[in-house]
Amino acid sequence: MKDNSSKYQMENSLELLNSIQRVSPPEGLLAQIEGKIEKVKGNVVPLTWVKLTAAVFICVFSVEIYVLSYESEHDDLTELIQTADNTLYDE
Amino acid sequence: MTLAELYHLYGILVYNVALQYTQNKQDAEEVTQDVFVQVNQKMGGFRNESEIKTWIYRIAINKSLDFLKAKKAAKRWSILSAKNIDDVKGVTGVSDFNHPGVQLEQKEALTFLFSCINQLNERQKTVLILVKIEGVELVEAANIMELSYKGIESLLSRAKQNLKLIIAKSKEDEG
Repeated sequence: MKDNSSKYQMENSLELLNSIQRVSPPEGLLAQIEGKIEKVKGNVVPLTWVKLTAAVFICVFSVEIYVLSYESEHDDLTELIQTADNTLYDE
Repeated sequence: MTLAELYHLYGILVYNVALQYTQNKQDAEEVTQDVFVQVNQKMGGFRNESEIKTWIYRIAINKSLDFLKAKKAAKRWSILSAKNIDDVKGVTGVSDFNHPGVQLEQKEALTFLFSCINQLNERQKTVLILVKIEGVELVEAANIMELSYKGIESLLSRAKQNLKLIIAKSKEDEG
Protein backbone atom coordinates (compact mmCIF):
# COMPACT_ATOMS: atom_id res chain seq x y z
CA MET A 1 0.00 0.00 0.00
CA LYS A 2 2.79 2.35 1.05
CA ASP A 3 4.74 1.38 -2.05
CA ASN A 4 1.73 2.11 -4.24
CA SER A 5 1.27 5.55 -2.75
CA SER A 6 4.94 6.45 -3.20
CA LYS A 7 4.74 5.25 -6.81
CA TYR A 8 1.70 7.48 -7.28
CA GLN A 9 3.58 10.42 -5.75
CA MET A 10 6.49 9.75 -8.07
CA GLU A 11 4.26 9.71 -11.15
CA ASN A 12 2.69 12.94 -9.88
CA SER A 13 6.12 14.53 -9.62
CA LEU A 14 6.99 13.43 -13.12
CA GLU A 15 3.63 14.73 -14.39
CA LEU A 16 4.75 18.11 -13.10
CA LEU A 17 7.58 18.05 -15.65
CA ASN A 18 4.98 17.96 -18.44
CA SER A 19 3.74 21.37 -17.34
CA ILE A 20 7.01 23.01 -18.35
CA GLN A 21 6.29 25.13 -21.37
CA ARG A 22 8.45 25.40 -24.45
CA VAL A 23 9.95 28.83 -24.79
CA SER A 24 11.47 30.64 -27.72
CA PRO A 25 15.02 31.92 -27.51
CA PRO A 26 15.34 35.69 -27.15
CA GLU A 27 15.41 37.77 -30.29
CA GLY A 28 18.89 38.65 -31.39
CA LEU A 29 20.40 35.36 -30.31
CA LEU A 30 21.16 34.43 -33.92
CA ALA A 31 23.02 37.74 -34.35
CA GLN A 32 25.00 36.98 -31.19
CA ILE A 33 25.84 33.51 -32.53
CA GLU A 34 27.01 34.99 -35.83
CA GLY A 35 29.11 37.50 -33.90
CA LYS A 36 30.67 34.71 -31.86
CA ILE A 37 31.45 32.74 -35.04
CA GLU A 38 33.19 35.79 -36.52
CA LYS A 39 35.15 36.22 -33.29
CA VAL A 40 36.20 32.55 -33.35
CA LYS A 41 37.25 32.93 -37.00
CA GLY A 42 39.30 36.01 -36.12
CA ASN A 43 41.10 34.13 -33.36
CA VAL A 44 42.08 31.22 -35.59
CA VAL A 45 45.62 31.42 -37.03
CA PRO A 46 45.52 30.66 -40.80
CA LEU A 47 46.85 27.21 -41.70
CA THR A 48 49.33 28.71 -44.20
CA TRP A 49 50.96 30.67 -41.38
CA VAL A 50 51.22 27.52 -39.26
CA LYS A 51 52.80 25.61 -42.18
CA LEU A 52 55.21 28.45 -42.93
CA THR A 53 56.34 28.71 -39.31
CA ALA A 54 56.81 24.93 -39.12
CA ALA A 55 58.88 24.93 -42.33
CA VAL A 56 61.12 27.77 -41.09
CA PHE A 57 61.59 26.00 -37.77
CA ILE A 58 62.54 22.72 -39.46
CA CYS A 59 65.04 24.53 -41.75
CA VAL A 60 66.72 26.35 -38.84
CA PHE A 61 66.82 23.15 -36.81
CA SER A 62 68.40 21.12 -39.66
CA VAL A 63 71.04 23.82 -40.30
CA GLU A 64 71.84 23.87 -36.59
CA ILE A 65 72.30 20.09 -36.49
CA TYR A 66 74.46 20.17 -39.62
CA VAL A 67 76.69 22.94 -38.27
CA LEU A 68 77.07 21.23 -34.90
CA SER A 69 77.99 17.87 -36.39
CA TYR A 70 80.48 19.54 -38.79
CA GLU A 71 82.11 21.43 -35.95
CA SER A 72 82.50 18.34 -33.77
CA GLU A 73 84.25 16.50 -36.59
CA HIS A 74 86.80 19.32 -37.15
CA ASP A 75 87.25 20.62 -33.67
CA ASP A 76 90.57 22.46 -33.17
CA LEU A 77 90.57 21.73 -29.49
CA THR A 78 90.71 17.98 -29.98
CA GLU A 79 93.84 18.43 -32.06
CA LEU A 80 95.56 20.47 -29.35
CA ILE A 81 94.95 18.06 -26.50
CA GLN A 82 97.54 15.32 -26.31
CA THR A 83 96.13 11.91 -26.09
CA ALA A 84 97.96 9.23 -24.14
CA ASP A 85 99.18 6.55 -26.44
CA ASN A 86 99.08 3.35 -24.50
CA THR A 87 100.17 1.07 -27.29
CA LEU A 88 103.06 -1.12 -26.28
CA TYR A 89 106.07 -1.28 -28.51
CA ASP A 90 107.09 -4.63 -29.85
CA GLU A 91 109.82 -6.01 -27.73
CA MET B 1 21.63 24.25 -45.32
CA THR B 2 22.79 27.57 -43.91
CA LEU B 3 23.31 28.38 -40.26
CA ALA B 4 20.29 30.71 -40.23
CA GLU B 5 18.07 27.93 -41.65
CA LEU B 6 19.35 25.46 -39.06
CA TYR B 7 18.77 28.02 -36.32
CA HIS B 8 15.17 28.58 -37.43
CA LEU B 9 14.56 24.83 -37.48
CA TYR B 10 16.35 23.82 -34.29
CA GLY B 11 16.94 27.02 -32.29
CA ILE B 12 13.93 26.40 -30.02
CA LEU B 13 14.90 22.74 -29.51
CA VAL B 14 18.49 23.62 -28.53
CA TYR B 15 17.45 26.51 -26.27
CA ASN B 16 14.91 24.36 -24.43
CA VAL B 17 17.29 21.42 -23.96
CA ALA B 18 19.87 23.86 -22.56
CA LEU B 19 17.21 25.33 -20.28
CA GLN B 20 16.29 21.91 -18.85
CA TYR B 21 19.94 21.32 -17.94
CA THR B 22 20.94 24.77 -16.69
CA GLN B 23 17.51 25.95 -15.46
CA ASN B 24 18.77 29.43 -16.11
CA LYS B 25 17.98 31.79 -18.97
CA GLN B 26 21.42 33.39 -19.34
CA ASP B 27 23.23 30.06 -19.13
CA ALA B 28 20.89 28.52 -21.71
CA GLU B 29 21.60 31.39 -24.09
CA GLU B 30 25.33 30.82 -23.69
CA VAL B 31 24.98 27.08 -24.29
CA THR B 32 22.79 27.73 -27.38
CA GLN B 33 25.48 30.01 -28.78
CA ASP B 34 28.17 27.36 -28.20
CA VAL B 35 26.01 24.69 -29.84
CA PHE B 36 25.49 26.69 -33.02
CA VAL B 37 29.15 27.70 -33.18
CA GLN B 38 30.01 23.98 -33.23
CA VAL B 39 27.19 23.23 -35.67
CA ASN B 40 28.61 25.90 -37.98
CA GLN B 41 32.09 24.39 -37.77
CA LYS B 42 31.02 20.84 -38.49
CA MET B 43 27.87 20.99 -40.58
CA GLY B 44 27.64 19.23 -43.89
CA GLY B 45 27.59 15.60 -44.85
CA PHE B 46 24.16 14.83 -43.44
CA ARG B 47 21.70 13.01 -45.62
CA ASN B 48 18.37 13.59 -43.94
CA GLU B 49 16.66 15.77 -41.39
CA SER B 50 16.38 13.12 -38.67
CA GLU B 51 20.14 12.62 -38.83
CA ILE B 52 20.70 16.35 -38.33
CA LYS B 53 18.18 16.49 -35.48
CA THR B 54 19.87 13.62 -33.62
CA TRP B 55 23.27 15.21 -34.17
CA ILE B 56 22.08 18.59 -32.90
CA TYR B 57 20.45 16.94 -29.87
CA ARG B 58 23.78 15.26 -29.05
CA ILE B 59 25.72 18.53 -29.36
CA ALA B 60 23.15 20.34 -27.20
CA ILE B 61 23.36 17.65 -24.50
CA ASN B 62 27.17 17.55 -24.51
CA LYS B 63 27.53 21.33 -24.48
CA SER B 64 25.03 21.63 -21.61
CA LEU B 65 26.88 19.01 -19.55
CA ASP B 66 30.24 20.66 -20.33
CA PHE B 67 28.84 24.03 -19.31
CA LEU B 68 27.58 22.66 -15.99
CA LYS B 69 30.93 21.00 -15.27
CA ALA B 70 32.78 24.25 -15.99
CA LYS B 71 30.35 26.20 -13.82
CA LYS B 72 30.75 23.73 -10.97
CA ALA B 73 34.54 23.95 -11.21
CA ALA B 74 34.40 27.76 -11.23
CA LYS B 75 32.09 27.70 -8.21
CA ARG B 76 34.44 25.36 -6.34
CA TRP B 77 37.37 27.62 -7.16
CA SER B 78 35.55 30.73 -5.93
CA ILE B 79 34.72 28.93 -2.68
CA LEU B 80 38.39 28.04 -2.24
CA SER B 81 39.52 31.56 -2.97
CA ALA B 82 36.84 33.19 -0.81
CA LYS B 83 38.50 35.23 1.91
CA ASN B 84 35.85 34.91 4.58
CA ILE B 85 32.66 33.05 5.41
CA ASP B 86 30.44 35.82 3.97
CA ASP B 87 32.07 35.39 0.57
CA VAL B 88 31.31 31.64 0.70
CA LYS B 89 27.67 32.36 1.46
CA GLY B 90 27.60 34.72 -1.50
CA VAL B 91 28.86 32.00 -3.80
CA THR B 92 26.66 29.12 -2.69
CA GLY B 93 23.56 30.75 -1.26
CA VAL B 94 22.14 32.34 -4.39
CA SER B 95 19.62 30.22 -6.22
CA ASP B 96 20.27 30.02 -9.95
CA PHE B 97 16.78 28.77 -10.83
CA ASN B 98 15.45 31.05 -13.57
CA HIS B 99 13.48 28.85 -15.96
CA PRO B 100 11.17 30.88 -18.20
CA GLY B 101 9.12 27.80 -19.10
CA VAL B 102 8.00 27.27 -15.50
CA GLN B 103 4.75 28.85 -14.41
CA LEU B 104 4.79 30.89 -11.22
CA GLU B 105 2.39 28.62 -9.29
CA GLN B 106 4.59 25.59 -9.96
CA LYS B 107 7.91 27.30 -9.46
CA GLU B 108 8.45 26.07 -5.91
CA ALA B 109 7.57 22.45 -6.67
CA LEU B 110 9.66 22.40 -9.84
CA THR B 111 12.63 24.07 -8.15
CA PHE B 112 12.58 21.22 -5.64
CA LEU B 113 12.11 18.59 -8.34
CA PHE B 114 14.97 19.99 -10.44
CA SER B 115 17.23 20.11 -7.39
CA CYS B 116 16.58 16.35 -7.04
CA ILE B 117 17.04 15.67 -10.78
CA ASN B 118 20.36 17.54 -10.62
CA GLN B 119 21.64 14.94 -8.15
CA LEU B 120 21.21 12.11 -10.68
CA ASN B 121 24.15 11.06 -12.79
CA GLU B 122 24.52 12.55 -16.29
CA ARG B 123 22.91 9.71 -18.22
CA GLN B 124 19.94 9.32 -15.89
CA LYS B 125 19.40 13.07 -15.92
CA THR B 126 19.60 13.11 -19.72
CA VAL B 127 17.05 10.33 -20.19
CA LEU B 128 14.58 12.09 -17.87
CA ILE B 129 15.03 15.40 -19.66
CA LEU B 130 14.61 13.84 -23.09
CA VAL B 131 11.67 11.57 -22.36
CA LYS B 132 9.79 13.32 -19.57
CA ILE B 133 10.35 16.99 -20.38
CA GLU B 134 11.17 17.14 -24.07
CA GLY B 135 8.67 14.40 -24.89
CA VAL B 136 11.08 12.50 -27.11
CA GLU B 137 9.98 8.96 -28.04
CA LEU B 138 11.97 6.14 -26.44
CA VAL B 139 13.24 4.97 -29.84
CA GLU B 140 14.54 8.44 -30.68
CA ALA B 141 16.02 8.88 -27.19
CA ALA B 142 17.81 5.54 -27.61
CA ASN B 143 19.20 6.78 -30.90
CA ILE B 144 20.35 10.10 -29.41
CA MET B 145 22.00 8.40 -26.44
CA GLU B 146 23.39 5.59 -28.63
CA LEU B 147 21.66 2.85 -26.64
CA SER B 148 19.43 -0.07 -27.51
CA TYR B 149 15.68 0.13 -26.84
CA LYS B 150 16.05 -2.18 -23.85
CA GLY B 151 19.00 -0.15 -22.63
CA ILE B 152 17.05 3.10 -22.65
CA GLU B 153 14.08 1.45 -20.94
CA SER B 154 16.24 0.19 -18.09
CA LEU B 155 18.10 3.52 -17.83
CA LEU B 156 14.77 5.34 -17.51
CA SER B 157 13.54 2.92 -14.89
CA ARG B 158 16.77 3.30 -12.87
CA ALA B 159 16.53 7.10 -13.20
CA LYS B 160 12.96 7.01 -11.83
CA GLN B 161 13.99 4.72 -8.97
CA ASN B 162 16.94 6.90 -7.98
CA LEU B 163 14.87 10.06 -8.28
CA LYS B 164 12.28 8.51 -5.97
CA LEU B 165 15.00 7.84 -3.38
CA ILE B 166 16.48 11.33 -3.72
CA ILE B 167 13.05 12.94 -3.35
CA ALA B 168 12.31 10.86 -0.24
CA LYS B 169 15.69 11.71 1.29
CA SER B 170 15.36 15.41 0.51
CA LYS B 171 11.87 15.53 2.04
CA GLU B 172 13.17 13.70 5.10
CA ASP B 173 16.04 16.21 5.46
CA GLU B 174 13.63 19.12 5.09
CA GLY B 175 11.13 17.75 7.56
